[in-house]
Amino acid sequence: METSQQITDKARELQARIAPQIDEARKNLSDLNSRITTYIRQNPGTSLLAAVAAGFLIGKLVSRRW
Amino acid sequence: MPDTTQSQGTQSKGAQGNGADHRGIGERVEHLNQSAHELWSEAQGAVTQLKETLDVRGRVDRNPYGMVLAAVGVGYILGGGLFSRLTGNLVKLGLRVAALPYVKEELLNLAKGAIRSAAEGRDAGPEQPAAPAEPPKTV
Repeated sequence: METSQQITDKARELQARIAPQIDEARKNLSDLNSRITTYIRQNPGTSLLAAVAAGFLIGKLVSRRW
Repeated sequence: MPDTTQSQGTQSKGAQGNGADHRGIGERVEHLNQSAHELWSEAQGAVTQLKETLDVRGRVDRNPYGMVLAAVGVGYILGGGLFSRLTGNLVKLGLRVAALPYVKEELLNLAKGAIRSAAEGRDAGPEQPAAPAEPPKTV
C-alpha cells in the first residue's frame, strides 16, 4: 500500500515538474508558428522563391545520389 | 544659266521629297510607339488577369504552409527528383497510408464474419457427422 502511494506521489511530483516545461514548449511552438505564418503572409514572394529553391536543391541532391 | 534653274528645281523637289519622307518616318515612329503602348497595356492586363486567376497572395493568406509545401514540391520536380528512389518510397508510403482505412475495414468485416459464423455454429449445436459411404459390394 505504501509502495503504491509512493509511486503515486512520484508520478504527481514528476507531472508537477514536467507540466510547466510542456506548457512553455507549447507556448514557444505557438509563438514560432505565428511568427512563421506572419512572415510568409508578409513576404509571399520571398517565401515561395526560397521554398522552390530548397525543393530544387533537395531534388538535385536526391537525383544525384541515386 | 539654264543649268542653275534646273538645279534649283531639282533642289526644291528634293526638299519636298525629304519632307514627305520625314513625315512618313514620323508617322511610322508614332505608329510603332502606339503599337508598343498597346502591347504593353495588353501585357499588363494579361499579367493582372493571371495574378487574379492564380490569386497567390490570397492562397498564401489562407494556407501559408500549404503554399510553401507546394512550392517545395515544384522545386523538387524542377530539380529532377521526380524519378528517384526517395520519390518511389514516398509514393509507396503514401499509398499504404491511403489504403490503411480500407484494409482496416476489410479486416474488421472479416473478423465480424468469423465471429458471427462461430456464434451461429455454437447456437446450432454440434453437427452430426456424415454417415460413412458404403463400401462397394464385391461379388
